[in-house]
Amino acid sequence: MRRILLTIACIVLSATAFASTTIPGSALYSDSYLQRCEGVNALYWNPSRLFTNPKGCGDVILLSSQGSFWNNAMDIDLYNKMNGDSISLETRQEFLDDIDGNYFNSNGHFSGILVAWSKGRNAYSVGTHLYADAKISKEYFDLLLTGNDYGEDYHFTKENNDINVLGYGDLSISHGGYPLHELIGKHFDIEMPKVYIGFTLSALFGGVVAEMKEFEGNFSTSADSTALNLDQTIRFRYGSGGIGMKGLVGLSVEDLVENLSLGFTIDNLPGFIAWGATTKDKYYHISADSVNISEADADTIENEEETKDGETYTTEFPMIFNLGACYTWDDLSVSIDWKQSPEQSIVSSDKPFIALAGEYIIADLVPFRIGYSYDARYDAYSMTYGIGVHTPKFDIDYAIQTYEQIFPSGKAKGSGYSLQLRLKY
Amino acid sequence: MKVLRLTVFAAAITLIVLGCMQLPKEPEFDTTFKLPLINKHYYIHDLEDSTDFIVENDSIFYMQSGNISSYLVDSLLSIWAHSQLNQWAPVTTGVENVGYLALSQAGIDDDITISYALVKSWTMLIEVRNPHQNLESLQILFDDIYSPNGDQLQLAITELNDTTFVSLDGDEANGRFYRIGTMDNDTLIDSLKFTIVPEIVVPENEEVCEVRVFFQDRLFFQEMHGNIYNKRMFIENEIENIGIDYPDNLDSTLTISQARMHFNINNTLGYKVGIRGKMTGYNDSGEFRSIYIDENDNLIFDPSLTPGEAAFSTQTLTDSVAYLLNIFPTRIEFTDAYFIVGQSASEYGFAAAGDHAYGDFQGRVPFLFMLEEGLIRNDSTYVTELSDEVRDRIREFAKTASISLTVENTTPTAAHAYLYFSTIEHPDTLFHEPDSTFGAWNLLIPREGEDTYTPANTTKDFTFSLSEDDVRFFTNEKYYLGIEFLFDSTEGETIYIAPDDFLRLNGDLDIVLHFGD
Repeated sequence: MRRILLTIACIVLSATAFASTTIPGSALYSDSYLQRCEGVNALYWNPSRLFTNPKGCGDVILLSSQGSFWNNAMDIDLYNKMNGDSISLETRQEFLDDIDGNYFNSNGHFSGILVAWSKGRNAYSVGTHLYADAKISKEYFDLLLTGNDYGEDYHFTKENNDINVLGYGDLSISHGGYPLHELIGKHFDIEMPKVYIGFTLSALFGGVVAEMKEFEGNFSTSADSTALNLDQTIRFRYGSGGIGMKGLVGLSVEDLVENLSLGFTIDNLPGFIAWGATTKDKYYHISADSVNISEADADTIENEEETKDGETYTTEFPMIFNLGACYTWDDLSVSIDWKQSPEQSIVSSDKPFIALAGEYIIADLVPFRIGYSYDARYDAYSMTYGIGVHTPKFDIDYAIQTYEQIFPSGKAKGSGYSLQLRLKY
Repeated sequence: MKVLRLTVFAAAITLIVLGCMQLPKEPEFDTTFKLPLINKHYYIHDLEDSTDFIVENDSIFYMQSGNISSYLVDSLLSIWAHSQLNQWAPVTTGVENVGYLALSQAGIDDDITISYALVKSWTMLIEVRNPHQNLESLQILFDDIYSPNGDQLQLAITELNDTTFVSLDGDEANGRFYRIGTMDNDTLIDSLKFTIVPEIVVPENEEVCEVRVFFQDRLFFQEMHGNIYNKRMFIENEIENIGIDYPDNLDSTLTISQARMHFNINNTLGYKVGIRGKMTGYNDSGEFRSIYIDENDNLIFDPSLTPGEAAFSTQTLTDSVAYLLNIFPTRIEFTDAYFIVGQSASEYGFAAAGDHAYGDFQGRVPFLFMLEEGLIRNDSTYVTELSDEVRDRIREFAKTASISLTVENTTPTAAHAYLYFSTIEHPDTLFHEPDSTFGAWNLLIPREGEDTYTPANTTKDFTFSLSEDDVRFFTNEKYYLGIEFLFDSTEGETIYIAPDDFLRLNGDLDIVLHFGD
């Protein structure tokens, strides 16, 4: 159980993102960023917007990072109550009561940009990404925190007990800001808005992958306290050392209506990491049928544990469609993004993700931001509040994020931060 | 480096702003798990195993079973035959020279008479002396003896100078034997008639030689019909080990009554057989007791009705059986014991080589006991083996525990149950020097009612608290649980223990696990 708790803690502390391509720049706006990205940040979001770089100019992002975590049960106050010392039974029960649904769900995301730069219509980046998602059934916590009673039957399934971890680095090249409207204008005598296109190609270097393949378990004691039944099967796959690629194409329409920018991207076109350097399949099974402790021995309790080399396999990144719009009026801008994938995976959701953001820049120097996002996958929302300092040579931006609360407070069920350092030349 | 510091600073500020989130520490709490510890029913009828313990008519018996078998009857199937002409007799022409070989002889109690027999071997001696000079040969014709080919036996003696021996061995390998009498004959043959015919040309009424005819040795039969009386067919002196693991101390705790012993015998002889002799029982304490079976016990078993087919019959011995079985013997031995064959001189029957009597015996003891106060130790101890992982978990997390036990007694007398825990299985250690600091536990289950020994159902609950040190005992890789029962004396009164009576131990372990530092 301690291992489980530590695993949860690591996952919770590792980071989160409801959006799959969250980077420090996008997290400043709750990931309402498709038509806000500029310069090198366009590489990850919408390469068509590399047109925002003035000719011969560019930017550099250094050692920027973003991280967030969320869970469906514990707010910060409760977390503090359960953190160390002796946890009272009331607190434990409060935690169980607060679990929304049949399982405790926690996920995190961390991304960092080691270095990224752009010049004109080209951009390059070296980044890292870690995704983690864990589910642990409420019954497990109930058993762990409050013990069991005779006659109770605990049933555990993969649906409620799951762990997925994916970590990789990317080396990306982007070319964008290509004025499609000019090309069309040369050949056709039609009026059209400014349309830019662009693409990003990323070489992916898989660092770590882990996924639950099978999880099935039962634990019960008979009502007359005479027998214990236990049956647990776990198949777990993990590996390291993979290589793959992903592609991103984007389109941006400017000034269709004055000050309105529209965009559309398809991410993961294609996207995959083939794992082969080290893969392991771990199998664990324990079962006992109608036994009591006085009968506990190798004949009554079957226990199997096996770890063997796994076969090469591929983690597919499902396509993600992203639509976004941004309206700018002087120092004020508002934006909206919608994102969805046909498939569910650790990096994608088949349920919509919607984000809204607003920014007001005072004296072209200090931007204030507020963002809102709703992820239907987890039926959870977050708010982001940010501030920055923009100068002609560099930008420093910072934002905090809070989940399930309008304003940061101890009742939030998650939090995040984003810090971006950007040099401009 | 400055940038990195700034990043860390930003993350820290975020956490502080978002509600003074504390740095994570390992949570600390106690959880109580309820686990079934033991559930043992010691039903009386659980003893039933169809061999040593059986249930009949709602009563349970334990049985000491063993096999019994006699030696083959072969050596008994023989008689002496004596010729009337074992004295020299003249053979005269012109008259019928008739003689008889008597199959019994006064003064020799042979105990067998036949109406028909297949003769496995015999040696007949025919001697001739003073033959007439013109005597060419003697023909001897036997009325009731037939050669293997079915013809009446006829011997021709042509060399008359010497004594003539005639050996008439049967062809055992091919099942061809000389016969006396015919199979359908039921008249006892007390002598074998023969006629001597001389071949000689001389006047009538002239003596031509002297002859005497007799058997030199016993006649051995392959098969016979007739009478056998009081022949002894000895029982093989085999020791029968009884495969019952009696609880320790049972012999000094219980006094049994109304025991009986069934003998189930297959008899291939066409004669009744009866058991006589000595049975001795030995127990593991070195005690032994013997009983003697004689004609008064009337253990007589049915004869076979068809040659080659065994008749099965059962007889019961009642006298002295309780005395024999009260020491709870683990082996029984027959000494100087035999089947007596032929229960009356007039019993007509049959027997053949290879016939014998065999079967088994079952001592049945109903569960009617007088209990003397004493311990009955359940012979089987219970071993629990815990995996390394489980033991590590106990070592790491287990704090304290309590054991709740419910003890139920449906026997008509009070009982105590003692539980011992040890890492050593040997009874001397387990029951007398248990490792654990908390065993032995004395669980008294009182009898309901003070004056009667009527069946009751008494339940009592016990709770024991285990300290942290006690709990550490369960980090041993393997430990043993031994159980002893002590029954109160019935003070000379015989009680009936029904098959459904039981002692039950049901217990659960409430173990407090501590998570965290």
